[in-house]
Amino acid sequence: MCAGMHVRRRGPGTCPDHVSSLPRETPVPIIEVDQLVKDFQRPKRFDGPLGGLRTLFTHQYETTRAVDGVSFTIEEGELIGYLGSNGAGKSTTIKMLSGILVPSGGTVRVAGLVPWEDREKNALQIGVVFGQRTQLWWDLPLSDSLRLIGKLYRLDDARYRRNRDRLVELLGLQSFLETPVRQLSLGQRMRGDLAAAMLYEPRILYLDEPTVGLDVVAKERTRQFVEEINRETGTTIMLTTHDLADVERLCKRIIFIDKGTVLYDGPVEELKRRYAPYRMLDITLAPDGETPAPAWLGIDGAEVVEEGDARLLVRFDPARVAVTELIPAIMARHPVTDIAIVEPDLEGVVREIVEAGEVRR
Amino acid sequence: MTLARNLDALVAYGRMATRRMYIYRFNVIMMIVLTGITIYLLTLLWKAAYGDRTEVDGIPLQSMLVYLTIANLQLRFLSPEMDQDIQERIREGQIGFDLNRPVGYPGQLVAGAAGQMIGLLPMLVVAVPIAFVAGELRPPASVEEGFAYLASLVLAWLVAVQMNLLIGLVSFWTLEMTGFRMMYRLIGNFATGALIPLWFMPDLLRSIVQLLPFQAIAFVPVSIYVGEPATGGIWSALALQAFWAVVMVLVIQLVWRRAFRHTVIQGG
Repeated sequence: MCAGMHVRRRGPGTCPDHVSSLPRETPVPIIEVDQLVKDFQRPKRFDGPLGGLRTLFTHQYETTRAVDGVSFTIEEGELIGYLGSNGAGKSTTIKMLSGILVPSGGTVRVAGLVPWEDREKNALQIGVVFGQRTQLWWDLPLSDSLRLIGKLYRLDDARYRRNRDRLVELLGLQSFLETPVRQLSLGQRMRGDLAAAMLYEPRILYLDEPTVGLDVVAKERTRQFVEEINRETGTTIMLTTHDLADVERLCKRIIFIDKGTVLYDGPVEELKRRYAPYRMLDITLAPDGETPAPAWLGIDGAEVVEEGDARLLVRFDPARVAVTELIPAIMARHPVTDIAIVEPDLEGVVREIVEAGEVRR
Repeated sequence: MTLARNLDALVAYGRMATRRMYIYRFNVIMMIVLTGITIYLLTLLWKAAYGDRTEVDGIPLQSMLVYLTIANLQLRFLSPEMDQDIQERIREGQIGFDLNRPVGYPGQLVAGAAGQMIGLLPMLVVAVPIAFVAGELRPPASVEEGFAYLASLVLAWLVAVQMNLLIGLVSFWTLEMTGFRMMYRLIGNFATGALIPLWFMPDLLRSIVQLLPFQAIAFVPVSIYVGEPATGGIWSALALQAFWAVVMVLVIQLVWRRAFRHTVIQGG
C-alpha cells in the first residue's frame, strides 16, 4: 500500500529544478543504504588501582559494532520513522547519512552523492534537526541565525525572503524573531530550528527526536509542520523518535533497528497487524440494558473479553468478521449509547519487539 | 570549494562574530582595563630597571616604554579565543552542525575571528586613552615605519589567529586541555616579547624564542614601530612574519585533515 504513495511532487514555486528531470510516476530512491557497518574503537580500559595509567599507556582497543549491516532504500518524498531503543545505532546511521561519520563498511548514496566524500555538496541538500541541540546562534536573535543560514546555503535575496516569510508564518515565529535564542522556550527554539533546517529547501530532512521535551501543544504543532512540509514540498523526511505518537501520526513506513541491525522495514499497519491482529470494540450500553452473557455473541471471529456494568469489550478479528456486521448485530440486541473501535497501539508492539529481539513473521 | 563561492558565507560568519562581540562589549572593556593595569605595572618595573640610565644596550627608556605600551595593547586585540570555542562546541556536541555546513570549519573560524577583530576596533576609542594614561604613547618612529607597522600588524593577526586555531584543533583529540591552554597562553605571551623584548632576553632564551612563531605577534611589529626592527631591517622583519603566516597555513591544513578524519572515524 505504500509503494505508490511515496512519490510526491513539490508544490509550485518551490525549487522545481530538483524534480523536473525525474520521471514523475515511478518511485525514485533518494537514499540508498547497503550493508552499512560502523565499528567504533575505544581504548581498552583497565580496572584496579593503576588501571587509569595502564589505559593511558597501552594501545589496546576494544571494538564495538554500532551498526551491523543495515540496508534500506528510501524514495523521494517518503516520511520514514527510524525507530529503535537507545543505543540501537540510529544516530550513528544518521551521522553517516549526513556525512560527518565514515562507515567501516557498506555503501551509502544520498541523492547520488557519497555523503562523507562530498560532504559540503551533500550539506546543501540536507537539513538536520536535533531535538536535544540547536544549530542556532545562542546569543543572537533568531532572525540573525536565519540570515546567516540563508547566506551559508547561498540563497539569493528573493528566495531567502520568500522562504523565510513562509516559515515565519507556518511556524508562528513572528513574536520572538528578534529575541536572543537563549531566551526562547524549548518549543519556540524547536520551531526556530525547524525553520533553520528548512530555510534552504533541502531535499532531505533528518529529524532526530524533534518532539523531545515538548508539551502536548508544541508536539502537535511540530507534527503538523512536519506533515505539511512533507506533503507540500515533497521533502523526504527521516524521523527518529521515541514518541510513538509521532510515528503513528506521521509515518506510513517504519524502519526498526535494534543492536545495529534492521528488525523490521515496512508499513506501520503491517507491523501492528502481525502483533495485534485483533481490534477491540468498546461498547457502552444504555443504562437499562442487561449485561449479555458471553455465549450470546455467537459470531465467528468475535468474542467478549470483558464485561461489566453497562460496558462490554469485544475482541474481533477484522479478517474474519467485518465491523459493519458486528455492530448491527450487537445493536439489534441491545440499546447502545456509544461504540468505539480501539486500534492496537504501536507502543505495545515496540515493547514486545525489543524484548524478543526479533520481529514476528 | 573555491573561496569566491564561499565569500558571501564567510562574510556572513564575520558579521555574526562582530555582532556577538558587541553583545559582550562590557567584558571586552574590562579586559582592556586589565591590559591598562598590566601596562602600568610593566612601565613601573622597567623604569626601575633602567634606574638612572636613559639608554640600555642602545635602547632609550622612552622607546622601551612605548614598546611595552604598544605591545600589550596590541596583544589584547590579537588574542582570539577560538581554542575555547572549539573545545566547547566539541564538548557540547555542537560540532556536528559546524561540520555539516557547506563551508569548511577552519574557514568558518577564521572568518569569525576576522569579524571579531572588526568588532573590537571601535574599542580602540577606550583602549588608546587607557594605554596613554597607563604607559607611554608616541607616534611611530617615521612615516615609513608607520606604514610598515600596519602591514606588520596584518601579518601578526594572521599568525595569531592561526596559532590559536591550531591549539584549538587539539580538542579534536582530547577535551582535557584547559590546563594545556593556560600553559600555552602563558608561555605564548612571554614568547611574543610583550613582557620582555627579545633585545633584553638572555642569549640562550632569545635564540630559542627566535626559532618560534610567537615573536611575529608582538615583538616584530612593535620593534618596527619604535624604529628598532628586529633582524636586520623592516623588510626582513616582514619577511619573517610572512614566512610564519605561510607555514601556519600549511600546518593547519595538515592538522585539520587529520583532526577531521579522526572525528569522522571515531565519532564526534
